[in-house]
Amino acid sequence: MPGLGLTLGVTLAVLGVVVVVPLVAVLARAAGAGWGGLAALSSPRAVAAFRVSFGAAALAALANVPIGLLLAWVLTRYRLPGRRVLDALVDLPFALPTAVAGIALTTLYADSGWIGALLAPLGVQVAYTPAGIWVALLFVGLPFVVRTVQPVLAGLDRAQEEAAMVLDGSALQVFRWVILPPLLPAVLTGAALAFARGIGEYGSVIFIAGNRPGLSEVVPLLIVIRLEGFDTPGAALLGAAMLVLSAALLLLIHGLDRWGRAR
Amino acid sequence: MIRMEGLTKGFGATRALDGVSLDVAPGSFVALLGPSGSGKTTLLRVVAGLEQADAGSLWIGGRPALDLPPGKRSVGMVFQGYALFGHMTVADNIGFGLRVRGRHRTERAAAVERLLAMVHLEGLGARLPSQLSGGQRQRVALARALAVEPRILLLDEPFGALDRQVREELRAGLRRLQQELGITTLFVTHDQEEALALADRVVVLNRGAVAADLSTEELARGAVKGFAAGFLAVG
Amino acid sequence: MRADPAARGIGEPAWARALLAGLALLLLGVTLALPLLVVFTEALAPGLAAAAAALREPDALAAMRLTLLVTAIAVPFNTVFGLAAAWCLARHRFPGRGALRALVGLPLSVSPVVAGLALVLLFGRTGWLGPLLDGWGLRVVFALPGLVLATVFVTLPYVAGQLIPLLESLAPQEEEAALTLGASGWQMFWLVTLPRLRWGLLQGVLLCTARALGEFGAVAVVSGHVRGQTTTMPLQIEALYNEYNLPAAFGMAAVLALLALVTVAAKALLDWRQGRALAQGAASVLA
Repeated sequence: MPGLGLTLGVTLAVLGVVVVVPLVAVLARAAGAGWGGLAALSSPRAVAAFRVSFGAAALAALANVPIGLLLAWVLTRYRLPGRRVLDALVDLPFALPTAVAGIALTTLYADSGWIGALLAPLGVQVAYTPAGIWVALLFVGLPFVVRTVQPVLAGLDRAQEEAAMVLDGSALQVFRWVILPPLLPAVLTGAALAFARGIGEYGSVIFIAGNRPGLSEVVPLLIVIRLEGFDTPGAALLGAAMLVLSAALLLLIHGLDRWGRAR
Repeated sequence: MIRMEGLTKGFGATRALDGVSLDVAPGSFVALLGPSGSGKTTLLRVVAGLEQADAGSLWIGGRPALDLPPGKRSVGMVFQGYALFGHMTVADNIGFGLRVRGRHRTERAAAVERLLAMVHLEGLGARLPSQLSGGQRQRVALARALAVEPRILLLDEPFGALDRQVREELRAGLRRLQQELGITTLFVTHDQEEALALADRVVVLNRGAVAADLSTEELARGAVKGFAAGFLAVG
Repeated sequence: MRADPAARGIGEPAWARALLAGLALLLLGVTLALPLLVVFTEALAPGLAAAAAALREPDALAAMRLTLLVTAIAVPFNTVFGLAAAWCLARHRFPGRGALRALVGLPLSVSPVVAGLALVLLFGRTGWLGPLLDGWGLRVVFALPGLVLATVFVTLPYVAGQLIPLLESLAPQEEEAALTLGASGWQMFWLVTLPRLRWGLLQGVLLCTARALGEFGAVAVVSGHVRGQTTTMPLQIEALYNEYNLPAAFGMAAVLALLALVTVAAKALLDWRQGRALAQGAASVLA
């Protein structure tokens, strides 16, 4: 096949200039801070930011597991009227700009908002609290579990289920023992993807979060704050840490994907 | 018309071709016969220019051909799955070779009509490949390959997925066409009956090397030994 | 609502089915539909005329123009990249192919803010290329090129991600046939390969465009927030919101939300058409 030289050249050039070199610059700048850099990374504010980002992302991914499973199940197995529309709707968090989601969720969950007003009498505050971050990341991560589980669910071998039913298994048992196991890798992959997306999320979070340092400030926001405060090394250190963690997550997801494929 | 010397090609650890040398006279119909993995398709693809030989030489029409791209070797190829351009009509498929050579639209149309008649598909020019039967698609593939008037015709198990009657009709059609046009033809198959029915000469390949090279008369007489004898189950 | 007869349930009772379906609808409604509704409600709160007028403000128009400009540059660029990447990765074997394939997807796992940071560290005044760009009188960060680069970074994998698996799944015989018929590489690509890729290409361009229009984090970092000059629509939304000008902020958000809905609908439509085309092709082969 012709064209290897040109296409490979273009691919490498673009990836190099746009992606690789800039990311290397982050790592290099962070490394340049030397051991003192680690101090900047372990400042109470930074540690809190990591705790907030990772904590909220983990909880949101966790919540998206049952939600995603439920949605995948209903969309794949049940013939609802308007199923196609509902299925398309699941892609909304992918297509909707994060800033739009951010202000919409904030307005929705503020004390005067439609949902916030319902929760306020119960003493539950969502907007401008860490809970708001969780809600935003739930929204953003919703499609991941659904979309990774759907194809696996659709491709399951019915014979096993039918055999289990004939053996007098209750629906719950069939689900637990026959359906869930093959779905597990996909579920974990989807959750990991949602988690990876959540830790780096900025636009949908900063409006609803409250952004109180140490309490509801996420790592991307701290990076922006440091950059705007001309603390470039500080920003680079946080960025480098995020890159390393993202890389580790990527390997994990890759491994999960391979595991799922192998089953 | 085609001369090969010591053609060798490996894929990773396997040797697909192991020093194949062959002379193909102009106008002859040669069948490349062998079990799967024998290298017959690889040999065809090397002649076509779709694979690069690791070693050896190839001459087409007396000129060294290994450095030429497929389009410059004057070969017409019919692929195993026909490889018709699914988004183009039959007429556009057949006229493709002429189009990329910059021939004018009216000239192309005339040639396409001629070719459709040659393969007995008159009137089907506006159809899409998905609207044709397997046998019809096969004939379009043949017409398409012949449109650019190649010096060599290469066929890679072209009658594979068709049922018996269609195969026999197509075989007869191919043989007639080849004799009319006098075009040098290399035909890959694993079906010895097909090879005997179509070819003047049968080259048996095993593990990338020529195991036997005989005319079909000799083959019919049973003058075969070694691997070829086993493969052909001569009796 | 019944269980899909072809699907058949696992014997769960009808009430359970209804419960699950109801729960699913509720979840979709609360998590997805409500935020959308809020956007449109807030945007139209001062009335349609006032909302439209807000969108005609100079800053709003500038933001829209800028967003369109950035998208109009980034998407074709990423499309060409996607085609190139798909061709070399799907039709060739070379050492490092697997790594390159993974690298193409890398931007998806990088936080947009980190992407913006990376570009600032490379192209900014104090960045590696800073002095060089200064010498040439070029401004990347805090200017249009920076916005384009940030958007390109973030949306780079979208077209490629559709094309690579698609081209890998298409057998190369049609292209080989074109070559034997005398087509040059370019002719083969234009006349044979591209038409085969059209569904994936459309999907990829669609997703890439949607993402490019809404990109916030990376662009926020490289833009410098210069009102009227480097403020894209998402940034304008942020600015208006922080000024407590909610109707205007939601007005602009509504425009983007509408585009998002169009994207989602178009994607569903393309999926359906592609599924039909595949089924037709399969049916005809089996005929």
